Amino acid sequence: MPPKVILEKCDGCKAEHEPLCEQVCPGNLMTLGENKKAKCRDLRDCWDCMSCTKACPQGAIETRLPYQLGYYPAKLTPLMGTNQITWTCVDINGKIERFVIKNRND
Amino acid sequence: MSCFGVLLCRCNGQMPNIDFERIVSVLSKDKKIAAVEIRDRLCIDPGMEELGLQLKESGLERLVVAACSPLFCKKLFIGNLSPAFNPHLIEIANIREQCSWLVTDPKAATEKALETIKMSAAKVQKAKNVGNWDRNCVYVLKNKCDKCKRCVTECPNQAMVLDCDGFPEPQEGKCQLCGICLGGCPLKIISLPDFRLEEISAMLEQIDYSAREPVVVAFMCDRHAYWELDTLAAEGYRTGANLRTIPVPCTGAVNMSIINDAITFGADGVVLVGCNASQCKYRQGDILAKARLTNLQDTLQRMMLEPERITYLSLSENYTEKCQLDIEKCSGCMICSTVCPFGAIEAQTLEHNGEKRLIAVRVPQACRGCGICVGYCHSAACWLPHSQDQEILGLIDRAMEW
Repeated sequence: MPPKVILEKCDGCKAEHEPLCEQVCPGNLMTLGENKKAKCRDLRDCWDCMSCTKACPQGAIETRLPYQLGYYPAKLTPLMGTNQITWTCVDINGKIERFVIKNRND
Repeated sequence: MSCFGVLLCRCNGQMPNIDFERIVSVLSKDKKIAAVEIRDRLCIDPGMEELGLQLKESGLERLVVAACSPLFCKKLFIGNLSPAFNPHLIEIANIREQCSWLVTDPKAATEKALETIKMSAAKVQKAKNVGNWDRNCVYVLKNKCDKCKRCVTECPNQAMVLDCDGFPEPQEGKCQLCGICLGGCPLKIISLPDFRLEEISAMLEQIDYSAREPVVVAFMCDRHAYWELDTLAAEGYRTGANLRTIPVPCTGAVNMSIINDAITFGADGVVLVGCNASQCKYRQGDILAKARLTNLQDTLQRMMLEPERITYLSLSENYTEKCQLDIEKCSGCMICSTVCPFGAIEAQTLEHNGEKRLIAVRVPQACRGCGICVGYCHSAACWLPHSQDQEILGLIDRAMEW
């Protein structure tokens, strides 16, 4: 399932020609649409790596889980700290689990 | 890791509810702390410079001074200790106002003091010269920067200029060290000389979140919200022991990743305490902080956490000390209303002692306690509660005695 951009929050990274989500996307799928908001160019090519969700400074990108993994209301949300990521995983029964993963050693 | 020491001040017995023996015994068990020194009154201790040099000779590089609020003695301590220590490697832990005076329960106050010292210790341990200690401006780590130009658009002073390669370059003369660029940087690569995200994250790690009471972390604006709490503590205001305060240069300097860290470590609530709308000294710090918080609140909701856990609180400027007007003495000349820069004094016709006359009336919301009207008043009807002539004269007399 492709990333969903919340249009009210996305500021197109102040309309720069290359926003953060575009820079991090490994498949080069994200781009700025005509309304200067981020959008996914080719929905079927997205492999749900969630790089754009983590990188977005406005928290404007959500990644929906593919239905083979978990149907609604299942979701996975990252929260970026200075050197760790907190993942919140909600399964189809609404059970909440949280994982903290260190992503930098200093 | 270079070792560091702790210098404690008893402040002449003004901290009766803090158990210093326990603090010393806990700190001296800590292997990272090389020396713990305790003094009765550090601010008038004539041997402070020698003490600093002694500590330096025993191999210390960094120092935590646990004493009163940085409002009072920070410059004095740093001045006295600067021959021995780099000023950026000295950290003041505010245990008098924030711990002893705000918290009444002795056990809780001692625990909070210990945590405050540990937080300052974590900050001073992480202190590192990334290249801007001798330059008075922010530092951008350019090899990680992705040229998003957020800092350029958000800087209230236009101090960020793009260099020839398109990277932001802070201008030394223009940068006012508010840290608003740091708060907005999505890659967390901007740092102030004394305020790096790693330091704040290390401070948050030291807080004990397992307490039964909900732990609230407050990021308070260094300009006045932090001082305001100190002044309130001196005037008898009390809070619970669960509040942990971290001074920040401006609420706009709080990067959302720090709040995320606090929530990850287990804080039950995070408050940003800053100015009222449009009173921000740096002009837009509070607006940006509020906008960022609203975005984060949505993310929290998606994470099945209550969005009320992070809030913005605003304290009005000069909450405690405001100019007073004495109706009995006022002659109604209205000089005060002409000189008041904030338009806080209005003329009103009031009936007083049976006769109708013109009297100056203060508008409390607009008054900022600058005291200009006090200087101009012919009939001594305007006065400031905490700086009256007699008090100032008394202070001068005492200064002359020394």
